[in-house]
Amino acid sequence: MEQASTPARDRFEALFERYHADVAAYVRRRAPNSIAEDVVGETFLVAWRSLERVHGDPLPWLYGVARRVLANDLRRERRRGVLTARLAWERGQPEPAVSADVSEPMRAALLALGEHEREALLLIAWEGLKPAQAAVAAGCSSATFRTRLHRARRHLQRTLGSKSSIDECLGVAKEAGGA
Amino acid sequence: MSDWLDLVRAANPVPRPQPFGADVRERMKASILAHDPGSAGVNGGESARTPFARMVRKVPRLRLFVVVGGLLLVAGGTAAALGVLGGQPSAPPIGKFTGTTGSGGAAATGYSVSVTPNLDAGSIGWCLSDRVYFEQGSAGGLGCAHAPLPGRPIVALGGGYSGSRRGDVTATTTSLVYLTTSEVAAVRVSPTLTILTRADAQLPRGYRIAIDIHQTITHGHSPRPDFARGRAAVALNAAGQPFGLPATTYPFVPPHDPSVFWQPGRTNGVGPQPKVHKPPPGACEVDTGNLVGVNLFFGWVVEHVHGFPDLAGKSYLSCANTQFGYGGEGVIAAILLDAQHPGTAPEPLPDAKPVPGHPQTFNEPAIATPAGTRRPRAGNPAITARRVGDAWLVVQASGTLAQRLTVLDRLGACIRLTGPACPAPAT
Repeated sequence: MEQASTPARDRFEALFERYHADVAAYVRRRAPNSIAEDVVGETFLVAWRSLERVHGDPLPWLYGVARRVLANDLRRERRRGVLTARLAWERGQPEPAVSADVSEPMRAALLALGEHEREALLLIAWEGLKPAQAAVAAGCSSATFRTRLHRARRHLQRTLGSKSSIDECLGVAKEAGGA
Repeated sequence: MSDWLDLVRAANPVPRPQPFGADVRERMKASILAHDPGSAGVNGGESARTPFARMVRKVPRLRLFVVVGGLLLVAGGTAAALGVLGGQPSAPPIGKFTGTTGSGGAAATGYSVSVTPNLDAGSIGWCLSDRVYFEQGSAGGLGCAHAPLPGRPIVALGGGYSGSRRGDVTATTTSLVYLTTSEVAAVRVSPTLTILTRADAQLPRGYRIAIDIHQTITHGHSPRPDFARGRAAVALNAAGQPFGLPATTYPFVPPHDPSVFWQPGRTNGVGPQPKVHKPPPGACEVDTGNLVGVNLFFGWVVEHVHGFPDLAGKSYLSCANTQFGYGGEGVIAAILLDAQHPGTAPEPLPDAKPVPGHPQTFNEPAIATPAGTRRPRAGNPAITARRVGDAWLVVQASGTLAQRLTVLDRLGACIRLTGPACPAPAT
């Protein structure tokens, strides 16, 4: 039975159609493709149940919800997979991290960052948010966000400081760009 | 390109967002809009996954070789005698597909369905998994936190599809699985499909199961199976009368007691805080102090246990969950309480047998696999448990029974449902 259209439903459907691809990309940049659909579904379920709280630019808010959904999802997955992926777990982290599709040198450099620093950096570099938007997604104040971003930049520069590291990343970047 | 931010941008693994297909979008929206807008908080982490999303989450599609075959049937279906009720008998929890000769080894040969306690700290209920076996591997899925709630005689639904493809030939296995309370005689999935439930020794006491599973071989395009009908399934009593809410109303946020995550070497907050080296105070604690060489991974602890007296069936509440490496194996240790009345003796573990020479200790073997199929590397490993007061101290791990017993014998458990939290203060 088709349900009647309501302003709330219409608004939700518009929200979903406009932003689901961005949220899916956010998830895929940090986690396996296989869980993207589930995480996006849960994120928009939260949005549907909290529609009255969604004001202004909804995308940073949606990223923030997706970040928390993803964190819990990865924890759950790891709880279940520990017995078959023990060694991977020992090296892994229980928070959203970096997709395995990222080049190894850059992935290592990003994983070497603290969780908050890495997320701050990726919200700017991958999601293309402005710092004020990214602070909403990260769930912190603008001042705190800028501090995190500054630390991320400093740590990443230190990690990638050597010419060989940069060359390695550049090599992969060129390959990716030419694909 | 030497700028550090450009380097990060260039490493973006998904440079351009890709929308989901129209069918996926419509399915997701329908699944979400089927629920009340409500006033849930914005803590996405507290939102349970959609059961529908879990149900249709496809298992890995195996790329095998040329498939030649025909329609395959589930073997061994035996129905409970249910008098006036009509319907097809449930398939057994473990079975083989017949008629796979000539499929070139691509068709699935068997399957298994299992129900195991949910060990996630703070969660109650059961995990439902199904797995399909091929000659060269297996594929499956797992969903947890299925709790027996009042008015919901269908406790859990699961299922999915998997298959192999070569050229224009596709072998597809589809399954629908319903875990029900004991009052359910059948599950009506659609006007043309009613599955009679069955009891089974592998199930927890007081539960029944209804399984529909089959495999088809097609040439050319293989349409995506329609699982939407599975969500509308209703429970039927012995007189054939529907009762309770349909399967689709399973709650998005199952009842649970909040748990606290901890991990050695990490802080539990933002800013300069001391790093965690042991579980935080809580109602329960798994003590690994006597395991020499243990490598603690992380864990969860329930701070305050409340219990769920209104449950419609027996179940466990996991009070603590600690995961670690020991002797080359990954281990999950948990403390299970009676979910309805914590502090009273919990139910025996389903399908668990006493371990000779180890008082109060029981072993629940790993999921049996159909005869002639290779045991998968993934899936639920075996569970060995010891009664500790009115709780189970549970060890879930691969390896041998002797290895699990070694771990279990050296583990300690602290359970304090009232009074000071675990761990006990040093004296």
